Amino acid sequence: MRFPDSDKKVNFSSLKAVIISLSILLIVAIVIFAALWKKPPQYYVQYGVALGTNVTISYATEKGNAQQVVEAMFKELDNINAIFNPWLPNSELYNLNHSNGQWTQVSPELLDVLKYSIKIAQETNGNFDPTVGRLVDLWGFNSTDSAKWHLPSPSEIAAVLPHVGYQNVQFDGNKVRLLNGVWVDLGGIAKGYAVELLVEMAKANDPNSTGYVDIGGDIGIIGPKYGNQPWVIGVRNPRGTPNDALTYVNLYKGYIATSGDYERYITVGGRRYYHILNPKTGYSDNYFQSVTSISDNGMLSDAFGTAAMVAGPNDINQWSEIFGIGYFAIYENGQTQSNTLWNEYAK
Amino acid sequence: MREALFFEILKDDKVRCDLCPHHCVLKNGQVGICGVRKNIDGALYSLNYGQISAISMDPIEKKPLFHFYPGSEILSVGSWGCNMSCPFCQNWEISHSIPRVRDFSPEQLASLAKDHNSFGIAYTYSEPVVWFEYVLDCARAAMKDGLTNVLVTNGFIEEMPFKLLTQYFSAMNIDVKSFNPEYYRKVLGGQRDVVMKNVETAQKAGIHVEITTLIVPEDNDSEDETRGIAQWLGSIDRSIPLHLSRYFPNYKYDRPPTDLDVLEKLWHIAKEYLDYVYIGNVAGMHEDTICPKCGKTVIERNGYNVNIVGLDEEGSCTNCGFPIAIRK
Repeated sequence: MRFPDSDKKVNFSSLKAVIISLSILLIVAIVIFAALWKKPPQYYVQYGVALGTNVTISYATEKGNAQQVVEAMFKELDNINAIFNPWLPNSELYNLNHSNGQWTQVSPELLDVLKYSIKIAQETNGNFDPTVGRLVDLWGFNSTDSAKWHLPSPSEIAAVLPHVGYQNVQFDGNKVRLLNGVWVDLGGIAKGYAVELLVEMAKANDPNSTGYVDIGGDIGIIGPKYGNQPWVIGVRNPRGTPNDALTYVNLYKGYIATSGDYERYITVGGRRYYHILNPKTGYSDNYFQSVTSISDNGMLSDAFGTAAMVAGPNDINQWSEIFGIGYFAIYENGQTQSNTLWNEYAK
Repeated sequence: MREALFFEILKDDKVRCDLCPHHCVLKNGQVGICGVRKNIDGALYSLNYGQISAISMDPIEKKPLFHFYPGSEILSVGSWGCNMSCPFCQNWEISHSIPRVRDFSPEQLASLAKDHNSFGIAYTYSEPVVWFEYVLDCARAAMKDGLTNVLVTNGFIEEMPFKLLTQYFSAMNIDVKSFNPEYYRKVLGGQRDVVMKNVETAQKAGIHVEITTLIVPEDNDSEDETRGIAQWLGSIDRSIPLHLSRYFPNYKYDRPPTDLDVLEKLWHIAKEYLDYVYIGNVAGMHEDTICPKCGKTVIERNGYNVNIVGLDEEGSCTNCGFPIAIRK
């Protein structure tokens, strides 16, 4: 014989048991999911101004010290400025430029960058030349104040040209001598150096960390976005607004830099004169609006664009092969040219 | 088949392949030294695009990579073709002849790797640099799916395409087959300095690099040669693992296998300059990873059986805290 009540009781107990079992299963599933699910990294982003330009650093590390590392990176930029800014009285480079041709002991940092810049000068037949300091000063492009940018007279330029030429930089161990009154301006390479140094700092803190360093458009990748996705980087339309991109590349690693005629320029008599000066003529050239390059070396990416802006289209393909660089060049008439390496980065 | 990257169109329907330092100039219908890149009507095509001759879930130690995801398995694929001509080739059936193949799209391959719970894809067996366009497309597809890419290569490729590969790869095992440039050129059909430069490029790009040297009796088994390789590698980074592998007769060579005493002697020489030196193709001989600081065994290996016995979560020695160069 069965009692209806007892039946009910049995059913209720079963239901309770099922609910308890399901709850336990759910809790176990949540615990397993929480253990297996890896949160995407949180990027610590800091903006600032250093080396006379805008700086953005985006950094994520599982070590939990992203902010401290980024702050140390910004401090390092101050150190770099104190070495490489040729227009900052008592910076190391300022003192070298004012050493009256005497052998001067320099820091390992300055020595490395100087030597590398002379190597690039040799390999680009002097189209990239770090000794354009006096020319840059003559045009006023060493100032951030656009009121000081002006077209010098031909005689002024002729007077300065003898004091330009990378052959005037001599090395002896850790000493450097500048002959013929040349002034070194590492503006075409120092940002690339700084970007690479900061990327190395980030990786030294955590080899698996990710993010990027952007110093005035010179960008170095610390690691892929979220660990496996590319950073999508646009190439600015030089005649458009800063956010108007002509094309994009997808970068997981490496260094990208743009040299262009649109940051520091003046227009005189309908002609544009900008801050990248041909060390042989003393004037800027009008082959390209900009040249953007990608390589595995921050200084190289930076210097390549400068050399190409000066040399024009004849050498760009040969140099890109010699240096292993992907490039995207925008001609003065707006036409564009790129090589296979660049086109593949764009995929 | 797919139109190739890195070639130049010349006069009279000729093309010059710029993928590897051979720079083969090919008339219409001709195939390059690699056997897999052909001039068809004045354009260069990759004949082995999408063609897979061998596919398997392998222990990562088989690549060999001893310091990268130790104890894991990885989907490994190969095609056919090679741009060098080593007379002792250990994979000549697929490197120097046309095997049976199956076609996979890059997306299919990435999906297959995920289905097998592989952490990535290894391009191996044949020479992946002459499978360039497919390897590149697969590597991109794999990255999108969160997979890791591994290249096992002779490193004989031009700088620009190699730099492109470095974008998408996390680890490489590169053969440095000899330290003698003449031997590299005349016997192996390659160029030592190109390979050495690519090793340095890969290391600089942040790729985990391990090096393999097959020790072939009478060819490259001198003490000086191993010393040269180890000294040069140590000057880049003494934590780069070097695998000195035992040769077995194959392809055109019938010399007996490398003497074990010779391997032992060369191991000691290489250890002067490098923290991690392993003997390959010999069970139980210098297979374990030993902490360079305290001498404790941190990874035990017996063939492909791997037992991590002395590494903490950060990859440091549990005994002394020394950071072992392990990626995972």
